Amino acid sequence: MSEILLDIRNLHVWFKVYGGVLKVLNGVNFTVKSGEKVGLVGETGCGKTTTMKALLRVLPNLALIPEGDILVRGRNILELNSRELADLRGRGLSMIFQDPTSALNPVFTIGQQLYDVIKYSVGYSGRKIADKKNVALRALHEARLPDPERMLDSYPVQLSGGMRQRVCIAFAIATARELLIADEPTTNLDVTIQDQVLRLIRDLVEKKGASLILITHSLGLAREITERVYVMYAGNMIEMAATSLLFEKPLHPYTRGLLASVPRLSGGGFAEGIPGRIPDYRNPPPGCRFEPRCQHAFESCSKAMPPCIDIGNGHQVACYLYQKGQEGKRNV
Amino acid sequence: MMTEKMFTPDAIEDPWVRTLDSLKKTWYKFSRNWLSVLGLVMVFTIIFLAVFAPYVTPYPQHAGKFVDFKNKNQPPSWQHLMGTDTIGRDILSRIIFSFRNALLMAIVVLSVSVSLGTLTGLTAGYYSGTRVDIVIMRVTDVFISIPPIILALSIAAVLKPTLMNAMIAVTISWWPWYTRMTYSLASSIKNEYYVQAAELTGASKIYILFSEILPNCSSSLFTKMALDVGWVTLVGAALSFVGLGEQPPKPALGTMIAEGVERMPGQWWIALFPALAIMFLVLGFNLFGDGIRDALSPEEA
Amino acid sequence: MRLGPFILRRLALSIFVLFGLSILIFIIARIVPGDPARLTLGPRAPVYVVERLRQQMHLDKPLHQQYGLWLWEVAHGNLGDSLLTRRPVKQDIKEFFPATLELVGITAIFIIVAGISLGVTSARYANTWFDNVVRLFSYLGIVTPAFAWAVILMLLFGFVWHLFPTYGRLTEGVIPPPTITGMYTVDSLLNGRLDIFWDAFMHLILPATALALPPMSQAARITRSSMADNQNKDCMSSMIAYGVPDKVVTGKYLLKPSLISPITVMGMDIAATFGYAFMVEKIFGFPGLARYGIQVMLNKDVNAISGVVLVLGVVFITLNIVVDIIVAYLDPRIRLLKGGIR
Repeated sequence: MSEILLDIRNLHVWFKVYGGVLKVLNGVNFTVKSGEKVGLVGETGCGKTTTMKALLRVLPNLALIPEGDILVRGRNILELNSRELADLRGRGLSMIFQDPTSALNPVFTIGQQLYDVIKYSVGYSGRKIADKKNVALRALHEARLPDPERMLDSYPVQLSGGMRQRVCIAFAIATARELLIADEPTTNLDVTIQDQVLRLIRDLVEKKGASLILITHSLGLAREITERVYVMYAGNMIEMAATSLLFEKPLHPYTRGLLASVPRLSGGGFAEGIPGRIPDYRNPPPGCRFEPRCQHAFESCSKAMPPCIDIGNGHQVACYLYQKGQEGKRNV
Repeated sequence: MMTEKMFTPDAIEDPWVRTLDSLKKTWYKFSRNWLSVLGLVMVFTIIFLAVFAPYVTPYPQHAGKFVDFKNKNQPPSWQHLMGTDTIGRDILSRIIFSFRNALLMAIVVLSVSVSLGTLTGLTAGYYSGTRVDIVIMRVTDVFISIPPIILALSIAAVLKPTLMNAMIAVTISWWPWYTRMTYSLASSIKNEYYVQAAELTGASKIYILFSEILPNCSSSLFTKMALDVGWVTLVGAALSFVGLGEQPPKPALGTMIAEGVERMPGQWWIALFPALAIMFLVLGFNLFGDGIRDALSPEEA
Repeated sequence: MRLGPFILRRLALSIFVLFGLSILIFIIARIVPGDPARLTLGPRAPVYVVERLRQQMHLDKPLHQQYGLWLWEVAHGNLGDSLLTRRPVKQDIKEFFPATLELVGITAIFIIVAGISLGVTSARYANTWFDNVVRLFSYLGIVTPAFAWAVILMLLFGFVWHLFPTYGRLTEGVIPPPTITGMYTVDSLLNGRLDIFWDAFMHLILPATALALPPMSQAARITRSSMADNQNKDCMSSMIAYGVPDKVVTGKYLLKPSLISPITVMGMDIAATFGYAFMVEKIFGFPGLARYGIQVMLNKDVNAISGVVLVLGVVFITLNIVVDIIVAYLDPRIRLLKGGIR
């Protein structure tokens, strides 16, 4: 039950652009066990979506992976050819994107797209349209969409944003087996719909016993749904812990800053932001990428990327402050 | 998101430094593609040749009333790099002089059609959904439904064949395309927040049109204008091919090709070189226009 | 709305446009050139003869009545006589139009087939040597006008290497097939005369290629960039993520939306080809409507001009309808949203 489903090791991803190379991912480590709900938190531009795209191997042509492995149940998927990949994906991978409008092809009906997704998912053996239709209708129904029959013949443009996102979830329902990746699933939705969509996602994952990777920049969201959280900054995983633990005892200065920058309903006072901006990926800092913005930085920080340090209780931090011998520098 | 130093005090500095800086950046973006630089060189060459034609051509008098039957139909040689035509005129000189008229036509046509087109397009786009919009765009649609070359030909054929009438014909066929482009840009820009903010603070419509909306259309406009120089020249050549537009003995690229075609394949140079000259001009402005598009496009995150 | 009602609506709209066109033609024919009767008879005809003709041509009646009578004539196929050829315009058109139609038709086939396949293949193998070569040539193709290509192709493939004929529709001495449509290629096939078909086709290759090269290059370019743009969209990643095979994603989900821009542009380009056709027809000695059209325009041959404009108008309207229908099929948003997507 607790086998490791996904293991990303030391992943580097570079983008070739005019005038240089964007070194976006800088040695990312990320694991997900089967049945687990993991969160991936970080600000816009830190590389969350890139990591997922690398995992799905849908990176654009100008991306290259100079180093690192992505293992799915022990198999390194970077070495698979496209047919083996399609097979693997069909076996039970699903992804829900941030913007439901762009996630659905506007010139095909919901039904056409749904049928294809069903047809190519492994474990589906039906031959006739009617079989696909049944699966499709059931999925649409489970996603709490009104009038599933008509929905099949509709085009995405005829639906509202919330409905489109639920259609995307229906795709996942129709096929999800092992892993659901939800990339900012509620960001572009009205607050009233957000709750519904979240609940759908959680129900779906729990019912199928699937793993969930929830990507978000909202800490509150991560707290609600996930069991374990990774915090990402500028292409590195800088902290990881069980969700409750992370929120109780954030260690990395960046995580602390993030939590402090959430305005509180009670207690008054303004929230503090984190000064500075994410680094230029063309010329990233040689050491810790957060160093330029960090109040606690010292000499080691700019020399090399800090290693991942295990604090215990499944809590890991990539920060020199937590190395043996640096207790003095921390003000816990 | 990347390298802008937005919060440093330098940015609020001397406006001259800022302009110079943005010029440098624009050049950097332009010059990244060597083809654009090539286009720039070609465009400069053409402009230079056109402006300084009388001083640069080997036989400037051949561009006017000139006859020299002794030297007619000479193939390319060192004296006449592109040969001579049926009445002995040097083809190279005539081509250089024809660039003058070509550029003149492009300038006149584009000035009028861009002004007219953007004005109508801005108005229609800003008032999109109202009667103003509908009237303007229906009229524009009628013109757009006919390919510009056909429209220009028809109009020019009805009028007397002069350069001025050719320019009028092409202008009439051209302005609707600017209307259409500005219209779609303006109608999406008008919904941006900064426009709504300006409206709220009571800015006059004219101010909004020209200071808020128009600048944001400028990159598309400039790109299209640069590319259009080539296309206008093309349509102009088509007109003169038929005999509309600049009349002989004044040199025009289209007329030269028409004369040359009669003499194919024996005196192939009479038709080929003007054809290549048009290709050169259109290619140059196209590469240049592509470079402008790159230079004016915003940085991607 | 579904496709059916959309087509009907477009057709109904076209009837209106056709009427508008006829009025426009009528105005041009009557108002612009001055006195049509005088023009027909020439400057030396005595005044009373001109007056008689004016009465005959109903020029003394009010304008709307004239329009009605003219429309009646046209509906019966009587477009008057041409000043230039001294024949009924109808006959001229019957003789010349099929030639141009044939030429533009073959050109259109070249454009569509070559343009799209080059564009798709180029996108598939993006940034490889194939792609770069195609991009280079399509650039050259776009910037060189059809008549320049005509000159170049004629020299290269007609005279330097004697591969293709360069004049007329058929070789001297070859008799055209019995007329069914007026298009030599079609007629010869319908009559089973493959030899004539081949001859006619060979004569069409150079002019059609010259006309097709710029639009074909443009189409290839647009197809390529359209596919490249759409490739990185979330909806494609989504399909791939769900395990839909690459071939299906590219061939179906990527291709359909990517064809929208190229087809729209190809429609406009094919319409424009009728304009450039006259130059190519002149260069290759092709007796077509485009060449005829220019001649009558230069000679202010009013009846003939009206006839040509009418025929071309119908062709354009048809072309527009076809393109609109295809695009509406490809992109449902157009028929679903009011006013289309802006």
